[in-house]
Amino acid sequence: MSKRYGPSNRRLLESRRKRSLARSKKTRKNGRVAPPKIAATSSEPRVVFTRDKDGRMTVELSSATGIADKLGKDTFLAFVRCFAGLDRFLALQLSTG
Amino acid sequence: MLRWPRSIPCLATLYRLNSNVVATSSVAYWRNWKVIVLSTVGLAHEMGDALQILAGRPVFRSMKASVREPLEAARKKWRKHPVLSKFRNQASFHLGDPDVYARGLDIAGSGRFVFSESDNCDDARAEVGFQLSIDLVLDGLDLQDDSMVIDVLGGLGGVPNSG
Repeated sequence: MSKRYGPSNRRLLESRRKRSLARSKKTRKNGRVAPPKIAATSSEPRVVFTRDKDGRMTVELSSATGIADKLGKDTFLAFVRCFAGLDRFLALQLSTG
Repeated sequence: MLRWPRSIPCLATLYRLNSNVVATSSVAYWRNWKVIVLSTVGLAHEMGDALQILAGRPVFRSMKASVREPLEAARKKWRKHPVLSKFRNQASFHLGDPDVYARGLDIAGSGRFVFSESDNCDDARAEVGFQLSIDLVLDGLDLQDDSMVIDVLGGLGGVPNSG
């Protein structure tokens, strides 16, 4: 028998196996494998661009207040107010163009 | 003969063009429709005001009942409507005070918001609609209730032909 599998090594391997088994039991609950832990997602506000198969693009703010806090609330609202005006201009182009 | 203000035929033309020329599934259609509704609701307030002045003139009482009564009904409804003036001053003919947007943002909270949508963005003529702006104004004014708009538009009794 090689030295590697001598009594002291066998005890070591056995204790490792027990520890491994104990760890795997911790991940189980009611016979089901516990869901994997997911790292906390970033709470950083984001501007999300999505595009569907028809080419329609949507711009979303993951958090309007978050973006407002980052830019400064007054600045953010000044932009939004200008876009309100642009929306009207674009609609009225239809009747004047 | 009673003459309608010029803005009513203009709105009717905009409405007709939007219905006939723009695809109903497009971003542009709903953006234009929103402006038509805002303008019509604001105009209802203005008409209520105009009819109030007219109702104070002796000529108004001498009108035939079939003409006077519908105008009187419209005056009462639009002049005294609880939110029409707010709508007219903050959403229809103006962009809304910054305070209204700030209140809208506070009410809207930290959720996810559609800022804008655009049709077929490969096309240089892609149409864009900015949803967040109107959402914040309507939230800021507590005017997200569609029933108020339907009530006002129903009271218009149809828009006359511009031709």
